[in-house]
Amino acid sequence: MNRMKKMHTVKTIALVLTLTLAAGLFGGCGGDAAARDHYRLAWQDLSYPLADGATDGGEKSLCDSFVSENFVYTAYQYLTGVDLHVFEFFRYPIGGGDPVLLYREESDVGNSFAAAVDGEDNLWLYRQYSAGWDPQFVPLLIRIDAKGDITLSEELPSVGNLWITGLFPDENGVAFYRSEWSEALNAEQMTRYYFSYAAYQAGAAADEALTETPVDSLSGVQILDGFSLHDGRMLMRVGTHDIDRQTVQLYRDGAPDGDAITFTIENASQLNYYPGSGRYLFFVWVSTDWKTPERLYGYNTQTEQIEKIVCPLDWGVPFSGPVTVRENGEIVCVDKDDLYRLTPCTAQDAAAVLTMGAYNVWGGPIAQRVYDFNKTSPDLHIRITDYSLLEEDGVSLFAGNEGMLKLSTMLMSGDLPDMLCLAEGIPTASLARQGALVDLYPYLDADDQLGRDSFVEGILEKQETDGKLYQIASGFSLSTLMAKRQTVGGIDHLTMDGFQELTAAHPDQKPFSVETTRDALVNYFSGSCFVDCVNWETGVCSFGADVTELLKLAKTLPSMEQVLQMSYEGKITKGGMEELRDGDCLFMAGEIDSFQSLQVFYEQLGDDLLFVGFPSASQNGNLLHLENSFAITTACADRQAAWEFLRSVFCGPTNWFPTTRALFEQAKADAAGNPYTEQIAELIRNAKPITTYDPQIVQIIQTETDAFFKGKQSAEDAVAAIQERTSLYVQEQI
Amino acid sequence: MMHTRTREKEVDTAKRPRLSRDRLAAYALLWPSLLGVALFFVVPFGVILYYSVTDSVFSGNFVFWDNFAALIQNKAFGIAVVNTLEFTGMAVPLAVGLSLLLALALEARIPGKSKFRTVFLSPIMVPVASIVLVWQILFHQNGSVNQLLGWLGLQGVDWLRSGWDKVVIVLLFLWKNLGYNMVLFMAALSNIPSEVVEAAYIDGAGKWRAFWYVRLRYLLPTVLFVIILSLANSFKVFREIYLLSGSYPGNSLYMLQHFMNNMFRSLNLQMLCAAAVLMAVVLGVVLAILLVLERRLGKDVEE
Repeated sequence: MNRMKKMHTVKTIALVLTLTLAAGLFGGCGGDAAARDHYRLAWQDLSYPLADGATDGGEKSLCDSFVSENFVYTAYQYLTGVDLHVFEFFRYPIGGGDPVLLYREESDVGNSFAAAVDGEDNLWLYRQYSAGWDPQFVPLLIRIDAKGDITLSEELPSVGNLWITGLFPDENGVAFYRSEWSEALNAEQMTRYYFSYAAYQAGAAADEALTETPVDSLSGVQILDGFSLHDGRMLMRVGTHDIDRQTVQLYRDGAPDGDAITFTIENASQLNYYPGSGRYLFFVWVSTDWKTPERLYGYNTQTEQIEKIVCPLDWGVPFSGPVTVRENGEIVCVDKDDLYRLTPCTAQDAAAVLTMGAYNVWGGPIAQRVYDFNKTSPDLHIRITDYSLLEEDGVSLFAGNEGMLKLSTMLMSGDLPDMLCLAEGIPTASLARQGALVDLYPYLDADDQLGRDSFVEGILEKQETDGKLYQIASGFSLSTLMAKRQTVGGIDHLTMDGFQELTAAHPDQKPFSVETTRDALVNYFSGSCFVDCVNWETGVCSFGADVTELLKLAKTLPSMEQVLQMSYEGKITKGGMEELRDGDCLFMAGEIDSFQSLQVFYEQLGDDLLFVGFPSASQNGNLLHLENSFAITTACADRQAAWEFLRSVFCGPTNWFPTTRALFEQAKADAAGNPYTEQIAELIRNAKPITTYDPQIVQIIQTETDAFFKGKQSAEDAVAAIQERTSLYVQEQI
Repeated sequence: MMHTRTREKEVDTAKRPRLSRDRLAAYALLWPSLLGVALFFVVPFGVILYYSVTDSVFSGNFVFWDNFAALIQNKAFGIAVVNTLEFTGMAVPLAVGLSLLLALALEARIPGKSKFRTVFLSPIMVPVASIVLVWQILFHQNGSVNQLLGWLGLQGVDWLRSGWDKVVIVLLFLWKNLGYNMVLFMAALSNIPSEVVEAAYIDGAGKWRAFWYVRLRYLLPTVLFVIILSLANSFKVFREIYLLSGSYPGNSLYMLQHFMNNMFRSLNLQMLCAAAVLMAVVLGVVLAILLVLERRLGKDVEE
């Protein structure tokens, strides 16, 4: 009986286990395949619409914008050539059409305006003085209707100089508010906040038109900001201690209008509210941290819940701003001088997407190039996944390797993005060996706008692997050592012996400027060793006496931390260039990334500057760092489209020396007056190229040099360890 | 007779449903485990086998032995194989021999026997990272061992970056594994029938002959098991070396698992899989030989 009972128990456990596992398995496989809305992106230009002649010059800055169901309103403020302060309001029909100038005001003192749009598409303006106290100043309330006619223009003499932070128009008039806080404590010993509410009845007798009442806010809760809803109510955002729980309080006629609305959005570090439309009472852009794109939420009045509407980055743009959702479901949002519309569509009608696996490009010029491309390409979008965001510090390729590990794992599993863009270079050798990269030469040769000759001489050849071009960099920089001709004489390169002779001949001068740290020298050394000390064909490494001398030299220099400490303590009074100019030091290390940057050198040293390069046995101590390399992977189904995107990158602006010849020559021509331009161009032609910063070799070098700098081993031992460990690594790779 | 048959039949029919019910329960209990083994061992090994004979993850063209040929020509792989063999050749016999000696020593009536046992077993409980930390303190150039040598007027040695590095790792391996092996031997020693040993003594065998001809014969299955276990553990010494000196230690500490780990990092899946398959084959052959040996040598003892 006992045995029977045991058997029964065992069977029951087995059954439960089986069912649980089966349920888990099938549940996991099934997933929640919730249908996802698709959007198509379109852009509308909102740049300043008037010709300069009509406005008497001045730099126009967009200072405000609003979106309603049918229009976008923009406000520009600028100073004319005759020092007149101008305020202009324009209205643009959504979807295209000519902008209309609704209101323009010139003043000597610089008035300021609070503005709002009501549910009838009336634009309300409240003129308030901002530049200083002016006893003659009269506040003005203006209403402009949907046709562009001014339907109300009333001076408000009784309020004097009322500075407000909120304007709440409705059919009965307009309300103002200003939020303040008081140090006074209430009964619960909490700081008491209140806001001042002023209601203005348009058309009423002047002495009765305006009433002003101080109104207590929620007890002890601070009003953070507020804005007008389209129904004339005020929405006040109030402070809470719970970071995830947001609370807004609605007011009508200065009194709370119903309960506070509280909703939860996890890790919402920043929220920007805008008036709602349709079923949404208000919209709110939510960001969680610097690396997560903003999402648009709306408070649904039907469900009384906050709901996510869209993450615009999913559809090609990362921008947030004044926004509305139109009756047809279209999301309209202002981004600087542009308006973008996300129109709901079927999956088939949505733009095709090419994915780009990237490293260290988030928020930089490459990301901007992607968004620029998406703007002009309605049928094809590039979507970036930046794996550096997985690193803890999110900055450096060498700081951690979670991002690289994730990317590597993805690549190894065959889960390739369509394109790759790595700021420090793509490991082309291993990826090409796997057959993961596409040779770009055929695309370059077939292109009618770009060809092999379109690139700076030697740049493409420097990026070749076995005669194939798997990556193209969009820019490059030059790393070199600079000296003053008057001090070091007319040398054009530097060997280690030459360097030691010079330092011995100038005992009163420091060898390097204060900015040239041991880290800078080791960085140079790391880069240089890829070219000088490693033979990737034979696998033989040759870290020898020169490297030992370089490390000994580096040890004499301060570390980056020491320089920062000196700077903090105010011990650094001159910059490196000034030290070089004044003969305090012999050399200064520098990275030159544009011809424009040479202007600074010229201003400091005239034509007395020499670019001698780092001490090198090969008599060429200048390094060319290729930046932001792009590749197309074999997983890309539409390689021609990917190439077209790459073309737009190569032909577009860059923060570095451009790799395309036309842009390079243009940059050179723009800096033609500078005597160093030709010299730098010549150095670029002959510099040693670093196509990929091999993080493994860098790590080996850094570990060993660090141990040497800390006195744990001699320079000879450090170099021997580098030689042994790097040889092992290189032999693995060939 | 007829009656008996009918009864047998009755017994059979009574047993069958019960057997099938038991079998059903057994399968129900077994299948999660089978699924796990298939999912995490059989299928991945199949995938690795496939990748080892194809040219890339993406194109998947069969290149058959090319990856193995490239692997054998790879100098780093050669270094790793030699180092692994050297280490295994040193560490495994020492681990087996010393743990057997310890077990025999602790079998004797010595004071503080249980304390010794605890001391030898305690390294099993220490996490690898902590062991490595202790080892770093001991064998660093400025570590305790060199300090001790300094007091004795001897020159310190850079233990982890000189010819001594392998010795240090062997010591670490022994320190970590001796205790467990010792326990296995102690269990085996206690299972040897005392009457057989006593009979050997009565027959005039000395201690040595009784050990060699009787006790060791009984210990053979355990010896082989400990060898297999030590062999497996010797391949896992990568963890300790990796924590001590990273992905690229000096030439003499670069093991097979370093090679494979580094191949993963440099996205060379083909080379990684070829090395894994080769290692699995070699280990399989070695284990098969050991098992055959065990069966042959332990046969008469079992009988």
